[in-house]
Amino acid sequence: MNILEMHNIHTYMAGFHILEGVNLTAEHGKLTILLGRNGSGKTTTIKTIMGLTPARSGEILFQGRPIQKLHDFEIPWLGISLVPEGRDVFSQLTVEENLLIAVRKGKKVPKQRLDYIVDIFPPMKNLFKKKGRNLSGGEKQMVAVARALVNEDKLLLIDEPTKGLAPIMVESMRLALAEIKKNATIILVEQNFEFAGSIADDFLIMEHGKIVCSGEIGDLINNREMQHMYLGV
Amino acid sequence: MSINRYLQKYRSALILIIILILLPLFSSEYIKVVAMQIFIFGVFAISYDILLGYTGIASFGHAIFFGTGAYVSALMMLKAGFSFWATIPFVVVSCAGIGLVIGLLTLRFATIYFTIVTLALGQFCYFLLTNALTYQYTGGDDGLHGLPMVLQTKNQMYYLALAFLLAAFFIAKKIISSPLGKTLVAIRENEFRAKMIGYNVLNYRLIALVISGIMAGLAGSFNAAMLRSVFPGFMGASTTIDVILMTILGGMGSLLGPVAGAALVIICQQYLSSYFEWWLLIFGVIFVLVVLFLPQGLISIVYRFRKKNTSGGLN
Ligand SMILES: Nc1ncnc2c1ncn2[C@@H]1O[C@H](COP(=O)(O)OP(=O)(O)O)[C@@H](O)[C@H]1O
Ligand SMILES: [Mg+2]
Repeated sequence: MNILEMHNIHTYMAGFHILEGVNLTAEHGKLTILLGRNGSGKTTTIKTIMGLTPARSGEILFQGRPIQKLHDFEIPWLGISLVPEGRDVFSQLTVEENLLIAVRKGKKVPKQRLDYIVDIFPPMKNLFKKKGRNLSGGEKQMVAVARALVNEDKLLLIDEPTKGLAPIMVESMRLALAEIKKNATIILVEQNFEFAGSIADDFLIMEHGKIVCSGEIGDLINNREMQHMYLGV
Repeated sequence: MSINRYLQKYRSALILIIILILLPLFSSEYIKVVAMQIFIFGVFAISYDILLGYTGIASFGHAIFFGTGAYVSALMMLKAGFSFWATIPFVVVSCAGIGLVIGLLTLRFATIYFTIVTLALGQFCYFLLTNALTYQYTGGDDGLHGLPMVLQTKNQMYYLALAFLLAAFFIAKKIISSPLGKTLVAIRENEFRAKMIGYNVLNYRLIALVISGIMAGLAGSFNAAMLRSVFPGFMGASTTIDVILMTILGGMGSLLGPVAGAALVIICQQYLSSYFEWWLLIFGVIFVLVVLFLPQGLISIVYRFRKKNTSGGLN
């Protein structure tokens, strides 16, 4: 079953035609990785799903229901969370408040979700009272991902979580995603093919605002030629 | 928290409140009036801080609310025989209404539109009060005078104004530390991030504007009650500029800062202006220096000093 489908999506930004007819599907329960060179439109695709850069035409189906007409702030309520590019925490709020503010139902992070988060990111235990602005880059990224886990969402969109992280942090992020993947459907944007190849089920490759290639990750791992052509590796 | 810890934590605040309670017993009438003015503008500045400091929206017409509050109270008391307290619900409703209308018209766009519209609307409201057609109701440039006394003595009025400030401060503090307050801070920092986790940013900005507008309106009403007069200047650009100065000089985003800013601006207006012809120039220089070198406002000096003190004490 497909949790998400995009049909012929066109998105414009500042008058520029950025997504030129994106077609993609992501299967329920899988980790689908979205690959492609810098500037190919991966972030715009993610933002278009979230309604932050609304599509001008085309259709987006979430669990079979069209969502492209919804307001940006309504989309998370369907059970979709975004971890945007760039270690996106609220700098003036504490880590605890950063998690709390993302909770949609109830007044606090459910205990069992909190345990789950600390399980995935053990260092978080000691960060709760720290302000966002006092975190290191790796800690910020952890909090940004953790914030997307407080609601038990159906779909997580994660945009380049390892960009600019030290190798050791990249490895712990990989372990964390492998763990998260057990209970959630994920679309992950990544440039780092090594990283991505090791945890993904399916892949999508984007070029000039279009999906040019997709399939099971094994097919891509075994196809050097395709890697070279689209990813330059 | 035990009583002792509580007393220790809020020691300076308690001392200040006790001094303010005792002040009328040994001060002149003039000082009482200045102090009352500070209390009332303190509330006005807190209302501005909720909007600018915590929500990140700059109003260039905040006197619209202050003036509306003052004129609604004054007109209802003078022309319809209402008591001051009976006018309060009308002040609340009219200021909330004005906030909602301005907000719905402008806040769905970039906040700069709100800033421009409030500037224009402020001018328009001032014109409305000073115009020949409305003279028979508003008294034009002369304003309205002879409002009935709310309380019997000046000292009672003093305590009413002080209670007004304390109540406004504690309510604002409660709002700011509630989930609503945290959401406002989050929206100020990054509205897209807030939308992305499911917040309807427009609604939250409207709520902040309505709260701020009501508070500013109430400050206007109390000012009318205290002076027993209203003037079109309450609605004018200079009143807006005053509240901006108070908030930024004192330190926006701190609630206490704007109150301190109100005290500073009013004391300077009262005293400096009688000694130095050039006081506005001096004031301008102070303002520029604060903006350049103390972006957190003058209150940040106090906070820095206190931090040093308390850490020293613990060691
Ligand atoms: N705000 C914007 N206005 C105009 N063009 C933009 C804007 N943001 C991104 N772009 C352009 O859109 C294209 C796709 O960007 P993006 O989706 O961020 O790519 P990726 O995430 O794959 O690196 C790029 O060519 C970029 O220059
Ligand atoms: Mg990107």
